[in-house]
Amino acid sequence: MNIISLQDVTVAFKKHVVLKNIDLDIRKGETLVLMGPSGHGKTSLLKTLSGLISPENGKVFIEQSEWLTLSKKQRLAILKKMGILFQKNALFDSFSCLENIAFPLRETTMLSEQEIEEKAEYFLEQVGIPQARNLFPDEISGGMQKRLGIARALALEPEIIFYDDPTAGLDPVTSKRIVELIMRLKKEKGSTVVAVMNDMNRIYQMADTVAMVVDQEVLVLGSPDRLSQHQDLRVQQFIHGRAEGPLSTL
Amino acid sequence: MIVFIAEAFAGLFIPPIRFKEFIQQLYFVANKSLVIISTCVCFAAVVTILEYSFHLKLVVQNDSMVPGFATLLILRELGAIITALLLCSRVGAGYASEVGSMQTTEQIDALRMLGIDPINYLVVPRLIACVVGGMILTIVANLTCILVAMLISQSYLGFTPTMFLSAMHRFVDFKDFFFAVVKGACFGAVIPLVACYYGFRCQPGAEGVGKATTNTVVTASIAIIVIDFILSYTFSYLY
Repeated sequence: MNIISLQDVTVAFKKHVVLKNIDLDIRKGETLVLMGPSGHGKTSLLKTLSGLISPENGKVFIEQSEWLTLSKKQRLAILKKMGILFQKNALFDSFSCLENIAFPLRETTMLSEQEIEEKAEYFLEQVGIPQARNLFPDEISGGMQKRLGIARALALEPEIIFYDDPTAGLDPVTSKRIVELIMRLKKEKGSTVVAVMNDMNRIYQMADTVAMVVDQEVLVLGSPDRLSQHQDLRVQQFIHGRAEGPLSTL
Repeated sequence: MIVFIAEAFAGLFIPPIRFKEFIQQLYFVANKSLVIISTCVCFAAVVTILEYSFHLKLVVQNDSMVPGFATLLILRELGAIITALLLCSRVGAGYASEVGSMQTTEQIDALRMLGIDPINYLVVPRLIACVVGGMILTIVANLTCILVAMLISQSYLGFTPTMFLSAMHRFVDFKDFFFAVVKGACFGAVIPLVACYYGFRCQPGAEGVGKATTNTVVTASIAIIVIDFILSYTFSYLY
């Protein structure tokens, strides 16, 4: 069953077309990784899939409901089933780490203060930063901020989780651990994962399906083990990290 | 902007009621602005008395009407407009940069993705706090301004407080005081609406936040002056 579908979607910012006539289906429980050169619209696609960006044309279906026809109340109800880790984490800088996780629980659930605190502490432990409980986001490292962002994204136990470049700027060891954490949490919760990622090792590690966003279009490439046989020169150039090729002129 | 304002006012009637955020914002708007506004209206009171005295002596060779005229001007214009313009530069700029920073760091998108309506969470408590804060500060500013005007009248023109209050009583009606508070509420509403509007549309980077702040102060100041004209014109039929 498709949990998110894009039908003939075009996304533009002030007449600058970023994505053109995109069709994409995401199955429930799947891990879809979006890869592609910088500035080609991966984040825009992720935000379109999550309903944060409204397309110029086409239809977005989230949980079989056409997103643009839903009321604000209906949208907020669906958004509660989603979690997102933004590229720059988007942590609430006036809240402590614990409060960053407790805040969505307090706002959208009927849990008592004690239950909220226990749950927030549980998620801090799950992502391995219980010691950061009372620190503010500015006081912790980049890797810890990523972990906190993941914990906040998971706090409401969402059915669909979006990760925008969860390993960007992290050292190889930390990025491997972050991906292991994402996969462990996905396995535990059985959620659907959509991630933007450019690190091929991490893509092989986590993807069920890979799609490449390039030249305003999305190439659905299938499972990671089929990437090396793909005929498109842009795909080959990207996965092998070559400087020469069709992508270098972009 | 009209849609944004409509959403903000509609948000006033949509739960949850964020009492804690309202109190925090009221503290920021009213308490933290009190000293600045009180100081500025003191100087405005001195200038008002000096100018009225100079002009009345020049035209009618008599300054007996200075307390009455000065109090009227303070209540009908000075108290509310000085308060609003100072609030605009302090609170409006603060709100625009705060909300603008949240926009550029995707914190507002994060609120949406957590199922929290940013209008309800960010705009509504600030709107209510500024309306209430605007009214309170206008009352305080008017009372401070009148008190200082009375003291200056005594020291500079020789009016005793009793003479000043008696003259004021002849000129001033309760309606003047009431309309001043209405102006304070209207000006108070303008500031967070303009600030949050520009904050929500803030472009990325330090320049974007700077532009949002500048646009807020300029737009809100102009809006306050235009609304002041509209309200003064309307009230002139009600005196």
